[in-house]
Amino acid sequence: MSESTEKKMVRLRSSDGEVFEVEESVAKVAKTLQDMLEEDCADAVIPITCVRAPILTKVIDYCKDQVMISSSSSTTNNPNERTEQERKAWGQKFMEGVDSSTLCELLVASNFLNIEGLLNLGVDKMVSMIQGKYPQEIRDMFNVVNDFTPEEEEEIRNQNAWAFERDPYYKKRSSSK
Amino acid sequence: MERISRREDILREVLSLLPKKSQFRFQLVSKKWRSLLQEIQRSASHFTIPARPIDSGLLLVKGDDDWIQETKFYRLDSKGGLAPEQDLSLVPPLNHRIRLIGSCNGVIFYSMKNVAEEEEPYTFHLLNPVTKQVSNLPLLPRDEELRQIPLPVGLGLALDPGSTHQYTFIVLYGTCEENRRKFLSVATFDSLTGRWRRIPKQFVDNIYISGFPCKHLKASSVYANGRVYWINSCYSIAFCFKTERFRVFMAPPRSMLSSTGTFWEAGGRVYYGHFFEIRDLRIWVMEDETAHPAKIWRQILEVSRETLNSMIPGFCIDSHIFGAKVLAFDEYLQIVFIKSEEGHLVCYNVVEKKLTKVYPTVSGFNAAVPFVYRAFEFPACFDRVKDEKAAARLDFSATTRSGRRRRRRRRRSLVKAKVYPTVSGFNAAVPSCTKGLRGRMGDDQGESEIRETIVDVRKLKEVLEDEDQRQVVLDLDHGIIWRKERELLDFGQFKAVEGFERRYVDIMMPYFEDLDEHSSGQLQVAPSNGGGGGAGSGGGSGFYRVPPDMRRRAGIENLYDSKYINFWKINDLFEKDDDDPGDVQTRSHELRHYCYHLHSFANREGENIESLMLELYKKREEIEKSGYDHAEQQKPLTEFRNRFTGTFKRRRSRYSTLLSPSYPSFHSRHAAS
Repeated sequence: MSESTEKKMVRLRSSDGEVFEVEESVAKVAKTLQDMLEEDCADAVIPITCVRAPILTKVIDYCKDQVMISSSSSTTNNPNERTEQERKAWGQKFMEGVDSSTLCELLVASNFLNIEGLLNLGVDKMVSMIQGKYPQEIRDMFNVVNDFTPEEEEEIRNQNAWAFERDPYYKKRSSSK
Repeated sequence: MERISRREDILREVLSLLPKKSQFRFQLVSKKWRSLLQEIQRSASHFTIPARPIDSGLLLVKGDDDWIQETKFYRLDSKGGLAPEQDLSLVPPLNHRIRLIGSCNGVIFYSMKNVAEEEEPYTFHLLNPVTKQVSNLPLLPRDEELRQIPLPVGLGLALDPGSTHQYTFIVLYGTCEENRRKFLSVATFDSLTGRWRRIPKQFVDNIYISGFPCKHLKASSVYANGRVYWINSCYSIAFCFKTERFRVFMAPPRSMLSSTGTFWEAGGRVYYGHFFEIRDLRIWVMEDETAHPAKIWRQILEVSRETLNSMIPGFCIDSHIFGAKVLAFDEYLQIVFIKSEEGHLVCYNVVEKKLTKVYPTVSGFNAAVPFVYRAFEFPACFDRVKDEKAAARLDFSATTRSGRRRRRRRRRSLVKAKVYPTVSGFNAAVPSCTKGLRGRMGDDQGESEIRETIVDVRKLKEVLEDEDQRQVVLDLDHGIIWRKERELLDFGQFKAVEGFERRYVDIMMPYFEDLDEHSSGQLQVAPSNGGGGGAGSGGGSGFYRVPPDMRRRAGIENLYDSKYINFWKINDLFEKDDDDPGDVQTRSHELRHYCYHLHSFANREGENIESLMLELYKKREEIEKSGYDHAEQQKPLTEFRNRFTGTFKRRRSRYSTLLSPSYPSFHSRHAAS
């Protein structure tokens, strides 16, 4: 839009003090940053207190890609434009190798920065990671303490027995006695 | 991970996208999770059709027509991809056949029959794929007047989305009475009352009951808006529960060439999809009942073959039997599922107007039933009809291990099976090297359509111990014996017998006439005796051209230098009274024995089999030239038969087929081709 060839840069500071300099268009992918930029603070470093540097790198990667897609597709329908399938594949590739703790941080970061696309990607990944698992695995994963009494647990199991069959972590109380 | 569990907003987002089963499972993680999940479920209200595509699935059915051989449950993801449900599949128990009748608001409705026991009636069951619960429906009602169970023309199940405590099982009967007036009547079974109720018959006009494909309980049905619908190629029947009235109107326009249509329910509406004239994909929706009967079907989609072809190269819609077939339509995703010619699953996205293959590729499926996941348990009243045996017979966890075990057991014993769907009025059959068994069928009255049927050999695997063969046809390519028995087509597999092919070949009779090649590549169908002859039960036998590679494999290259082999000789080959039917050894011994007899007979008479056969054929032709007088014709034939079969009188019936007047002559066969 602006005719000036010099692109406006924005500086972001992660929670561990590292400063990233990105183009304004890239930063604007994040709705939170967009709001901030539109209001004021042009030159100042924006502190992103809840996001660590490696996570922020990943987030910026995502934003850059989004900018690339939107700019290329808006000009002409060139080969860079992605089909639904390619986008899906790209999302998968982007999320590939992301371990659970990174994923959590990514989710928190994208939630904070309000990047819908990244949040959806993360949620999808999370769903695929946890679905089909058993309660004990989830507790281990999320570090949740089982606050049910054995009686309560038994009752819940009996209510929806079909959902709990073949649970390897569960020993019937009668058999353990 | 800890961070996430504290962030309720993100966690809620994640949990709400989980499949129903995991949602129930994770209630056990902690109290917080439980309250969160319960909240999600309350807001999603799983008693209504869920809006989330994640909760719809597709049940793919493998097997002959609608007899299920294997089913696979697939969950549709939001992009239209399919993810198999690992531990869920419906496998018929040994000697049992399952037939899907339909799905209704999250419940799969199917019938089961023990094919080993003719007397045993059909049983009907409900299955909730989410909870894996099975409920037994009552047996079909008996007519006390007739003292039998009348055969219905249609079945249906009504289960309202709102009330999960009640279902209605509905059976449709069609009768044709004096003055050719047609009546429809239904019997309903309500789970609340637990009783059958007959609704008086109503006169309907303009309908062919006999043309309805619901014979033998094949009819599938859909339930929508308080009405049960049955649709065949010509008619749609709707039965309204409120008014208890029928409404009959036309099916969507289709020509003779149109592929078999599929109809399904989605979001309270009835859809119909087919390939019109084997060309264009057409989807129809049923309008409100108030619409004019002629306009009740509204076309909502038409895609030409060329368009489809351009999207997936090689996607073709050529044959109306084995060709592409519309399977289902998912209204949330706006995706039409299609079985392609090769048997793969492809989907057409209505919004994006794109045809894509479904990955991972699934193939070999003939039908699909769309359903929605609804996590509710069957109430106690569903199981009024207690049949624990039947429920226990179902094996839901089709692990590969049990499958292998079953297969191994099959191989050990003599494998025999009935061909389903039962084909009647079969006049000819041919083993084809590529597709399987091929034949023309049509019934004696000539009322039902005559169509060509090809039975895929690879699909027939079920085991059945059965006796009393009539007609046998060999499939050397697959090592299978086909036989016609009581108007049904059966087969037995002899692959396990070492060297059996050779033994069979020894007794097969070559056909001398040097006929022109009817077609290349495929084996030729012997023309059915169609109009002339009118042999109802006698049945002709088949002539088959055997391709060179098959002959080589069978080792008959040097035996007879002939293109044609006649299989009729194997008639009543297995006519044994006290034999163990499962004993392959005995059978192969029998074959050898018969061979020996035939050859020794030929040797003793100083003739070879060929000349004997030639003589026989010549006589037949003579008779046919001289006119078709039954008594006159029989005389020389009887004479000849006596001479020919003198050596083994006990097996006289073997030659009756050849000598029967219904046997097609060479000339007529030439003319037909």
